[in-house]
Amino acid sequence: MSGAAPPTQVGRFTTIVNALANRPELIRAVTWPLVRFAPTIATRKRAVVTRHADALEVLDRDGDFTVAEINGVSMDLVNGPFVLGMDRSPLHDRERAILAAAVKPGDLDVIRATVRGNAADLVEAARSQGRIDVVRGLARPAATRLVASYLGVPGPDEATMMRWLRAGFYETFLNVGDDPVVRRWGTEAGAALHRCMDGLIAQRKADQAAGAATPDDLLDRLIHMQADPDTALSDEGVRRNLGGVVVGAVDTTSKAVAHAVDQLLRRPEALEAARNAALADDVETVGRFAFEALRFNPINPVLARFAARDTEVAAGTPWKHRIFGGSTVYVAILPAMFDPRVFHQPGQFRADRPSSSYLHFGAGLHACYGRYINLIQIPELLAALLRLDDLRRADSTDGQIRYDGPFPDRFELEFRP
Amino acid sequence: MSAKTWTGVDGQCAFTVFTRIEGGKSGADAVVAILTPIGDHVATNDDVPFAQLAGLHFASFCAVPLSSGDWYLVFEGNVDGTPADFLRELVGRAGPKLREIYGHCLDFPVGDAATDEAVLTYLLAHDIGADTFYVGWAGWSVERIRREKALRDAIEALVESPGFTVPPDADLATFHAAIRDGIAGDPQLRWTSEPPTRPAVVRYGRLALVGILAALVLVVLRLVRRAAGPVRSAARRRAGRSLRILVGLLVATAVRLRTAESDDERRDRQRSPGWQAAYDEWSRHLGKVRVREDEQVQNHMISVIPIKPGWFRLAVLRTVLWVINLAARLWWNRGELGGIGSIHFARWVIPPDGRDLIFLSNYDGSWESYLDEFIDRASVGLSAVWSNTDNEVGFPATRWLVSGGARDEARFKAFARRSMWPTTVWYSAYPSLSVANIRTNMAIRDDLPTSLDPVSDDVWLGRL
Amino acid sequence: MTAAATGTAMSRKPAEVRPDATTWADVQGLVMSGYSTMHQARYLLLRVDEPSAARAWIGELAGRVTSGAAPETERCINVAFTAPGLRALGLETSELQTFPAPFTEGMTATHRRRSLGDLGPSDPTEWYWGGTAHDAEAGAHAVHVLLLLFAPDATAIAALEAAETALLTAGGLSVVREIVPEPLPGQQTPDGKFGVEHFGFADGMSQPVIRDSGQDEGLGWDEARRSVIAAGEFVLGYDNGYAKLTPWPQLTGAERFGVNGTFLVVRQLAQDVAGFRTHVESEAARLSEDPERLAAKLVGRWRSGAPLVLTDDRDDPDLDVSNDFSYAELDPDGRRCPFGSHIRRANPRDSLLDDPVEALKLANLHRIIRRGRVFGPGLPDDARTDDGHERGLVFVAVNANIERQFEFVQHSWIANPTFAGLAEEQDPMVGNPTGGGTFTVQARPLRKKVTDLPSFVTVRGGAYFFLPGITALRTLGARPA
Repeated sequence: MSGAAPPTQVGRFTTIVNALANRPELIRAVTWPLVRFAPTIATRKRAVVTRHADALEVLDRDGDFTVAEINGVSMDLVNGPFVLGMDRSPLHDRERAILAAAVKPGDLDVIRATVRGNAADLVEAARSQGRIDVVRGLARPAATRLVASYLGVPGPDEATMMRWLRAGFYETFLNVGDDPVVRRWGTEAGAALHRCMDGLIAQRKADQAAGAATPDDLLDRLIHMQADPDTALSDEGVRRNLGGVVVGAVDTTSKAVAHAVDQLLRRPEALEAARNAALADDVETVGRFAFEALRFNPINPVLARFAARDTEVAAGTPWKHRIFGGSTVYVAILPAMFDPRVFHQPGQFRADRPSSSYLHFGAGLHACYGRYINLIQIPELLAALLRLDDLRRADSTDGQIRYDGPFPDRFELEFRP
Repeated sequence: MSAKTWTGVDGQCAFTVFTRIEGGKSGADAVVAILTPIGDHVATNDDVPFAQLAGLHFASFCAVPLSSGDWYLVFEGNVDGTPADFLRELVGRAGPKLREIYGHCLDFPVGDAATDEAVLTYLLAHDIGADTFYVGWAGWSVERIRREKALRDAIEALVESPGFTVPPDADLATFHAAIRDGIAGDPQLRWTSEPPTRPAVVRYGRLALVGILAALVLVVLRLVRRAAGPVRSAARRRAGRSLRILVGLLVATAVRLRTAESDDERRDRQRSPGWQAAYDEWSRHLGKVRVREDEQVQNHMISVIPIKPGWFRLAVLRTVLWVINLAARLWWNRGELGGIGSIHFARWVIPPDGRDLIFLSNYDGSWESYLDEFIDRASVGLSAVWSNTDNEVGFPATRWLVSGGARDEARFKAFARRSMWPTTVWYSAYPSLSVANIRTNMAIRDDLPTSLDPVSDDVWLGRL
Repeated sequence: MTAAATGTAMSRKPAEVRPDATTWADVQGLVMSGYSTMHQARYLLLRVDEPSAARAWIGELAGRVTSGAAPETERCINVAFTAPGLRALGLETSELQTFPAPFTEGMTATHRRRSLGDLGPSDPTEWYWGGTAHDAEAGAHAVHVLLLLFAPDATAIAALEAAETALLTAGGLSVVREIVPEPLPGQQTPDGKFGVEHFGFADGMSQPVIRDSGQDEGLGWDEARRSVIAAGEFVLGYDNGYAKLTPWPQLTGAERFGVNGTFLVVRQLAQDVAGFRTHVESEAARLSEDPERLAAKLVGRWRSGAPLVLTDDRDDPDLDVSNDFSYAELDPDGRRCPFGSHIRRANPRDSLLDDPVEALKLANLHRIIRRGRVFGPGLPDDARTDDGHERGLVFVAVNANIERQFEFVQHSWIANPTFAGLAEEQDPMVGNPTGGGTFTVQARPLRKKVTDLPSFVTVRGGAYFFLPGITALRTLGARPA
């Protein structure tokens, strides 16, 4: 963790899980026979689903494959109930609708402009040294600044905010072994963010009441929406919903950018093609390269769901398989994105694959809330890097991704100043 | 002193003074009439001043009938030190009343012959101890339990007092230190500065039990290895014979047990009236049995159940009780007995004629919750004991001694209720404390003097 | 089949016994529903004057009684009997003995007063109905029958009550006492939340769901695990939580009399609302706490119903009906929802053992379905002195085993001074019958202690009732003199 040294370290189990999750080649090597010959394996306690179609099916069938058992407790501890940790219920449906109503079509243009501006500032700050840290120098602060400006949650300072969000996200989505140290980090960070947001909400309400000009961010809109009973959340409800969005908004993005650059640097031809697109300001094409690159090292190689009842996946196909009620179902995102039934010649890097096949943002009811933002943000941040001349890894281990638990923490590149 | 009082656990002993009441039911009624006013004012009466007797945890007097048709007075106590010391003090303080009570019992010395020494001798001669004795907190004397409660009370009072001025945003270590320093100023609580001690039986008991089991396994393994040794050697012959006898005994016991169990099931089907009708008929006496139930946090029960006829069931029962006793001494001496965390003291005792099984327990909470814990957490042990006994309700069908049985909730509860008799006198030295409270107080005392890390400080402060 | 044979059959039952569609057509509707669309209710406590006429009335009433199968839209009627009532209707002692002891002994037996905490002002000698003073008056005030009437509005309930009163009077019964619950608020949530009790807290969010009732379908795994309970816990004749059959009452010639029946626990509880408010406020001032927050700590939920476990800082009304939580993981040290708070005592969920799965299983062997309604006018929000109107809750609970369910909850959880490792305190809302209670609010760094808690709730009446299946009502109605 950045900041004060933690009094205790995470347990061995969590260390091993993190190490494995960051070895995409190993995961591919182990799972390729599964994808081809035994796409689903199920015991009474655990099941693994590796076929692309089955992964989509599990993520889509949100009534049978639920999330509350997976991350509801962590979400409740860190932030309070949030739609990504809830299964369908009147509460879930209402709050999802309110969150959807708070977003406007024009937002995407604003986001693009903001991300570009932030990225340009950060790259400019590094230019004279000829060296940039993809995580600490670009992606993580850029995403944190977007949280401040678009969501309206700046935090006391950027470093503290980044620390809180990483600890909160770790506990909420990645603490697979219920590691007590991770849990303590997450709940402490969550409590601090909670207090900070209470202040922000009170301040914004006072500003609105005083008739001051307030920024048009998500916070502002949720407060305005309190006037209409259909979209009204209590102050605590505003805090809880906004907090849920905020917690997932930074470390996912920075992980994606770091992994994408890392994969492109391993493929000089692809890197060159992507750079040309970036220089031509064709960010859409940069995005194609980014998401294809991420296929080789996705931000979440595996997603978990909970089987709420005895059921079957791939019913009516030769791959049909029984899933036991009460078991944890691992949706193997990475192997599914190497399923030859969907990805022709999966071992090949091809930037012309249909973008709808990727599973980077999950799918179904609990797909990533920030996907539309990140479909813009990730390519923009990547493009800002690619435009640099003679982009290459820094010497020694500095030029490799170094992880803090499950998160890329440092990854240094050099370029011609 | 009876040979059975070896069941004392590291400083705590059980005595069960078991005396036949003369005159059957009417004699018993007379004894109960003497005892009832004592029971009504158990902590304050002058006749048997329990509260002034050092080292007494719990005590009770109950009059119960046995299979023989005779009524017996059961005087049970759990004491620090030896029963002899305790009973001597009791005779000194409650001599006249004891003479009045025991005057109704067989063989009690008459008139001038009933000197204090003679009374004491009588009581000790009739002490049948316990076959299985469980102590919730082995080694914790009455004094220690009360002392640790006083410490907790003092801390609770300290943090509420105006003099306790630690600001609410101070760190946890500051709170801990402020409490420790506040307590250090109290001369009554000076003992807290000494490091806490753990009784030897708690420290080494589990190790000893593991050692015993390991030794048993080794012996068997050695027999097996010898039996597989060089052909025609004498050692092999001997080991083989021993093994054959051992296995033979086990198989014979198992067969005999299953036969007995299926016989029981067959008899149970012909039970008339049915168990439920038998219980229903009896249940109007329930109010009398519950006369002293739920007056405070703790409760007492006495249960008397005839052992199934024949030597086999008695032998099985004695074996099971011996095993549970060993486990209770060496393993279950830290506030729980096989997952049941609500028993202060409990015992099973078989009176000399071997026809009945008496169970006595001092437990926390309601009878209903106690029995639920039996059923949910310890049905194996309870079936192993009580499936060897039978009353009008009958123990639920049991297989292989431990399966089924107590899991049949409604019938098991009816069986247990049916076996109970009113508790006429019952004394507790710390009536407001549960087993868990004692544990908490202990933990507060243990960690009071030591400086801790923030996580442990948090846990420590959370105990208050 | 003789009673003896049935007893044996019960202990050696071959396979699972689970309800089917015919079950719910025979079970009285109150088991399945609180009739939230029936905004008006009348509880009539009746005495049997002429047994044979009364039996005829029962037989005929059986045709009008609402079953669990198809909820009515116009009116609902349910009927239940006390042990003296069944005796008055001509049941033999040997038949009454087949009923469980709590029912035959009654709620006012001496040891039961202690275990239920009916002491001091709540002593049954002081009760309006069902108490011991009334026994002494040799039947004049004896409560034999409870007739529960429900209708959507005031006009309909008046008509229903008039019609039913005429019929019961003609049927040899008389009304001993009538309880008029407050009409429900116009707006109800779909999951049966009945609005707000007199202390100002939303009530009725947490109810067990009966397995195989149809209400248990489509639930999430955790939700099902938490709240779906074996049918035999609420209806006699089916597998209970131990996968056994709870013994049911039998009549001569009608061994299955008790099947599809259950027991109702009815207690009329007066609430001292002004006392609650003033005490919470003065203690909050002493402890430098927000009074709203302190009140929520006592209850375990905020006024809206939002559980403290999910939002411990302040009320989050968007979570008002949320019942989707447990304690073990979210709140192991009680610093969100205090160990001794009312909802944690009334249903400790997965928190009482180290192993939460095991703890939940055990806690779920002690569940009750609550079907009560409030009575008396609300006290205005700003009032801090009593206005002389009695107000409170008519607590109505459904359970198949009074001892293991209602009495266990009341004694081993609500009134237990050492519940969850606490020392010398009772439920802060409904415990402390003789006053002087304390309540620990677990907090970091140090707990706070609320002291001198008086009794906010006084028992004014109560009894155990048998709520027979509709077939059993017909059996009862058809019995010869």
